[in-house]
Amino acid sequence: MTHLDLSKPTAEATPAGTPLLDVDDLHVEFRTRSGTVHAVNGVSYSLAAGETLAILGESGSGKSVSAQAIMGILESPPAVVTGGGIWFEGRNMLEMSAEDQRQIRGPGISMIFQDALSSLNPVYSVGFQIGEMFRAHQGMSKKDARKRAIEMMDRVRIPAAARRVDDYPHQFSGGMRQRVMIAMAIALDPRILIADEPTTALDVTVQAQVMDLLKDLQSETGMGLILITHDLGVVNEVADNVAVMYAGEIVERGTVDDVFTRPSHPYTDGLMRSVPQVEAKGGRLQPIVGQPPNLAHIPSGCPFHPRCSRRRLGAEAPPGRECSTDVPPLRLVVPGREAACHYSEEVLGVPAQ
Amino acid sequence: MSQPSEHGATAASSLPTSVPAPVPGQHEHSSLTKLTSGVAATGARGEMGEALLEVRGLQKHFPLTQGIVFKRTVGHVRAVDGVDLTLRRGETVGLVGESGCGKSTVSKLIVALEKPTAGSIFFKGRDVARMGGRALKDYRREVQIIFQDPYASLNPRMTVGDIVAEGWAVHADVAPRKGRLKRTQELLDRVGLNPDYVNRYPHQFSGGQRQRIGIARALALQPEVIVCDEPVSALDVSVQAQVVNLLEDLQDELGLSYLFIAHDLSVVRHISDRVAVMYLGSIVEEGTADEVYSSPSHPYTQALLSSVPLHEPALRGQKDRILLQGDVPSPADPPSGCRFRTRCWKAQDVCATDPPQLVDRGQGHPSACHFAEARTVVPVDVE
Repeated sequence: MTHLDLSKPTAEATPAGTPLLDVDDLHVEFRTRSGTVHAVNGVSYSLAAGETLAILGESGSGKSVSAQAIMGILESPPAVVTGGGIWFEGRNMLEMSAEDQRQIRGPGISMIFQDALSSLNPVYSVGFQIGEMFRAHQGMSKKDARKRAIEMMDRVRIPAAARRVDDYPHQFSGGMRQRVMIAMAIALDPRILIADEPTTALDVTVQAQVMDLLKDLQSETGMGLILITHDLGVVNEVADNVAVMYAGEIVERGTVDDVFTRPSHPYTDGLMRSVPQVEAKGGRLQPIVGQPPNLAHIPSGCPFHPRCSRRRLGAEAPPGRECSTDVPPLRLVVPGREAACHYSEEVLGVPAQ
Repeated sequence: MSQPSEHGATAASSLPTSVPAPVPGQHEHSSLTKLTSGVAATGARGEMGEALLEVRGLQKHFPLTQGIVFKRTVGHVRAVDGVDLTLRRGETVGLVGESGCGKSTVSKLIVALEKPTAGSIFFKGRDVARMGGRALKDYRREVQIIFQDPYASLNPRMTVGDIVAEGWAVHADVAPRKGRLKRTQELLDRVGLNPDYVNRYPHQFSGGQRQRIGIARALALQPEVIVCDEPVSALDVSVQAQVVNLLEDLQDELGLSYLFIAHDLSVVRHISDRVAVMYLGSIVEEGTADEVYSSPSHPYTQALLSSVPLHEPALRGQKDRILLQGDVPSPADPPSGCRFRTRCWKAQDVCATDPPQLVDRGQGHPSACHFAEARTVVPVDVE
């Protein structure tokens, strides 16, 4: 990938179609006393303005760690980014000074988290915490920052914002707290918003409200949205593109329509079959056997092979495509679709190239 | 619940027991079944048996107190406020609702971990509140519970074998002392765990495996009813299906009845024969899974269903979007009349004064709305 031709692009100068964010072959490890945990193993994706990319995966798939690496909020030690690049508007964030990174966090890239209660400081009012964005990044006075905080609370549709600006996080319901966090995240009009399981802790009716709000904010500002989730339904309703992660790798990537209609990786396929749907009673669920792998001991070859029903081992595999020894690269299977499986054509039911 | 592994043990009595242990699948038929009300439901798994568990007008109010030394009661949280439920033999009733609606309190009341403020629970026609000693001990054996959090509901200092066998310390007649190890291993095998793991500790297992241990513990006492309180919501999606399938297999094999409590509408639809929807302490709609999901008639059920994201790209944008405004009111100060009226688009004056009864108003199944009207919210079944 060539990023070098993008000399000093600014927000306005980024040409349409050029990705806002380019994550290239990212590797993250956690070095602990009981061994090295390979949390992210060569993840690449890019995000354009106005695009919603869903990163779909189960717990321990590395989806949150890759996002934390982008934000530069990994705790180090134990976390070490061991390779790859994170290019934001043409500049590699991994090679920037801490101060330059700080300038990007907020106006450039911003993030919201799953658990709003533990992400907000219980001893400061929500208005103070939202206003902190303006005070820290724009040197605004306390009074002005408070005024802006009320505007932001209005914008995320918190009722009676002017009255509630001095309330504390515990005085808000779960959905309203999530709105407060969104208000903080979008305060500086970020180019990219990373939402890490933003609705997992919320009830469905509140989830629908929050997802609606995120979509509306995105269409107002044209920001890129990275949605990290394990919920297939949320991905289907909100995202344009999806990257499916397993054991720290992207195993399938494409548009949501394509991937959800005809998955081409056995893991994606298994996931679709194992989840009951509200729109159909359906027959018996077809679970994926076994457990997700321990990231300290990732299986050799294809990390999914011990759970895969299509695996080919030993002599039954064609040369170079033995699932327990040959690592399948993320490759183009059909136009617009990449998958990391030796037998994706079989899963899709198309002839191999 | 600090020591959930002790459930069923609180009714400990040291009476000598001479009653033979019931064999799974072979259930004694109580002559006391006077309260078999309603028509036998036919669910996905065919004809259902007689009513095992009947809940009538169940209420649980938790006092709100003020002051440190002299506690004054300043109000009540009406966690459960008039719930009626019937669970028949071999059937799965799904109880669905959002957090704070009281569904977990219902489960605790049913397994007698909490005492109801008012209302009754009948098991095979006998009022649980009037049971004492032996009868209550038997009830606690026959109605078991599986908890949501497989990390908190297993004692970390006990081996898996001890956890599964603990119930026999109280209900010694269920398993003869001699064959207990073998029986424990059979149970582990039955729930899909390696029988050699009896001496391992809970921390050596993954979330899905721990939930299987919880299921084995519930099965150890050969219950007729298992209350499943959010049994799969803490599990990863690929593991959820394994546990759901296990629960279904066990039901077919042992003739168990489940009260399946969950907030995940998709899982509830999948596993349930009948579904009850709860809002702010009471049931707003009840019917077979198909009735409730295909033709919901209470505005809350409609809003709830319309909020669930669909999985099929082809169906995106096809459902009826109903976006509820605001939050659930506090159960300490619920609205008068209909609980849902403050967020309801159909609300009229009568809703503030008359609490609607849970009755069939011509839509085919009971609904607690004055203006109940069946409406398809989720696109029609794609089998």
